[in-house]
Parts: sequence; C-alpha cells; structure tokens
Amino acid sequence: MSRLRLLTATALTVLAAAAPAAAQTSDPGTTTAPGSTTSTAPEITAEQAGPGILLAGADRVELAGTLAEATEESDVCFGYVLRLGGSGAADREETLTNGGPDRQPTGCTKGSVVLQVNLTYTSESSESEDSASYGVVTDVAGLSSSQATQRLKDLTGVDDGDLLGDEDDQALRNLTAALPLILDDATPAELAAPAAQAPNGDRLTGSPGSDWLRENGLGIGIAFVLLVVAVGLVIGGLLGRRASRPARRSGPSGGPGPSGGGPSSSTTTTT
Amino acid sequence: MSLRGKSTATLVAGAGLLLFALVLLVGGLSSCGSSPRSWVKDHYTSAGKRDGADVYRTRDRVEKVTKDLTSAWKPADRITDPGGVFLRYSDELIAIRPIANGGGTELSVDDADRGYASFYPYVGGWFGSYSGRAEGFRGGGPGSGK
Repeated sequence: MSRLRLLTATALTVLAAAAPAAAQTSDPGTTTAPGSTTSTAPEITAEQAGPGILLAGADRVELAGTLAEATEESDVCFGYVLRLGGSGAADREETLTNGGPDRQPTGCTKGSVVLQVNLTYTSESSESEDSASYGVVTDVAGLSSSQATQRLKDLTGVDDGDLLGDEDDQALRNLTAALPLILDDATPAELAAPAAQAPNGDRLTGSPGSDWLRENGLGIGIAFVLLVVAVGLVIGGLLGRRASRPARRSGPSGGPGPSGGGPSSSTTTTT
Repeated sequence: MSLRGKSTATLVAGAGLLLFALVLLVGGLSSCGSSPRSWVKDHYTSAGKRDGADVYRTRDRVEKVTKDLTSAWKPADRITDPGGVFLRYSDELIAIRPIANGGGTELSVDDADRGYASFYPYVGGWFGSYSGRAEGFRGGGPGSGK
C-alpha cells in the first residue's frame, strides 16, 4: 500500500511539473518543427544525457526522441520516473520524458502518461532479495491509471522480475516505448514503403528455434516423464499381483491353480 | 494392506497416471502442424495481402490481440514501439498495429526475412543486425545476447 502511495506521489510531482512546462514554447531543450507548435524533439547528445540507471546515454536520447514523435501525434506527454533504493546504494531518481532525458515534458495539452518504476537493490549480505515494481499514472481523460497499467502489461508481457534480469534495459525500453499504444485513440506512425531487403545487408540473426517446441516442449516433456512413471507403476502392479497369486492359492481352500494342473501333478495322480 | 491389495492400488494409480499422461501427450501433439500464422488465420478476419504479407483485422484493441496471440504462441522475441508490437517466430514476423482513431487492430503476418525488411525501422537491431546507431543496445536477436 505504501508503495502505491509512493508511486502516486512521485507521478503527481511529474504531472505537476508537466503542466507549466506545456505552456512553454521556447524551452532550450526543444525544437519547433515547421508547421507545428508542439514539437518536442529533444536536442541533446548522448554525452550530455549521460548514462541512466538502466539505459545508456545514447539509448536515453533515442527513447526520448521516440516519445517526442508520439507526443507530436497525440498531444499527450510520455515518460518514466525510475526510483532506485535499497541498502546497497544511495537512493536515486531518474526521469526521461518526451522533452528529453532529465527534462520536463512539453506539449501535454491532453495530459500525461507516466511509467513509474521502483527498483530496490539489496547488498549481498542482506537476506532480502532485490525487488522491482512498475505502474502507470495518467491524467488523460477516459483512461484510468489501473487500466493503463494493465494495458501496458498485456502489450509488453514485461513482469516485475524482468526489470531485475540481464535484459532489464530492454524491459524498461519496451515499457516506455509502449506508452503511446495504451491511449484509446492510439495512432501508429505510417509505414514506410516496404523494402525487399533490409539496407546495408542487414538481416535477421540468431535462431528462434521451433515455435511448437517453445509452446509445447515443457508439456510434452512432463507427459513423457509421467508416462514412464505410469508404465513403471502398471508393470509393478501387475508383477505384484502375479506374485500374490501362489500365496493365496496355497492356502487351506486350495483349488486348481497353475501348478496343480501341470503335467507333473497329473503324473503324480496317475502314479 | 495385503500384497495383493498394494499391487491393486499401484496398478490403479499407474493406470490413472497413464491416462493423464496420454491425455497430456495427445493434447500437445494435437497442435502439431499448426503455427502462429494458422492461429491468426483462424481467429481474425482476413483483409487480403499487402506487399506479400497476409493482413488481418479485428475490432479488438492491440493489447488484447497481443495477449491472446502470445498466450497461444509464445514468441521467440518481441519488441514494443509506438509503431506497434512486433513478434518474431520461427518462420514468421507478426506486426500488431492499432488502426487509427480507435478503429481496432491490424495484424500483418509475413515471412521472417521479408518482415524484417518491411519493419526494419522498428525491428532493425532487435531481431537482427542493424547498421544504424545504438546497435549495442538493440541486442541482435535471440541467442546473440547483448
């Protein structure tokens, strides 16, 4: 519950900062595209941006540029606030918006959509483990924060643990870049004319493996293991029943059994 | 419990487990021959072809389509972007993009290589090589690491 309050408080701070910034048209960190009054493309180099908590400087600039293009289309501001805490590190907060890395957003005439990420790194000597959480806070009309968070989870498939793994930077990038898609009237950029081949000889790399095995491999593996165990149990049960037969038939009631009807007993009777 | 009673219990347990395993096995094997492409074809309305890619449309929102598809067929890799959701499979690249003004969702199912070229501005560097900047960040496709 306290985490939720923290998320909300931080988001409100960002949103409050966004409102006055929206009225500014001469922010030194923004440019105005021809024919537009709300262009928010950040003019900042990777060196100026510097590395963030998870993303490199160049990636932060590229991501801010992507968000700026989305803001131009939607008049909605986008960005993230990432808070890092824990016993092993000093508390730190990083922001990135369509206005640029560590800059206030501009052009938010229809509101803002802010990704809130909390990371807690613990020292190796600590018994508790690293943790992460994320949510979306928005003041866009008709879109609740809980609805926006759920949409983002469904879109990206990113769970909290992904923000602690080896590809935590990609997880943050995917979450942030997907923010424009959660709007009710999301409009994607027009597709460029399709090319027969990627430029400069670029091509797909790596092998994705079999789709069927990826989807069913675990289930089939479990089924085979269960099959082997089941066959073992059935054979064991059958052998056990067979072993119990002579013991029952050698009792007082006797009765014709396999041993009683064999050639040797027949021979004995005849004799 | 007598030896015969134990044997009977083992036999019944084994038979039950055998039945369960067979159901699981048949369930898994029944999807043999299907693919993400056929799943999309079975669940969405065809809107013809565009530049060689099969195009489908639905009134559902992008996140629902994405969740439904990725639940049925887990992608080898995925990237989200303001331009849409891009899923890489063994033989296909599927792009899931919103139709403007809340008009639903469009799916584009293309061969992996042709799809990579078609959606290069979005997936370049993520699913394969990329001659632009920030290649290090963009990974390089499944198995290649970062």
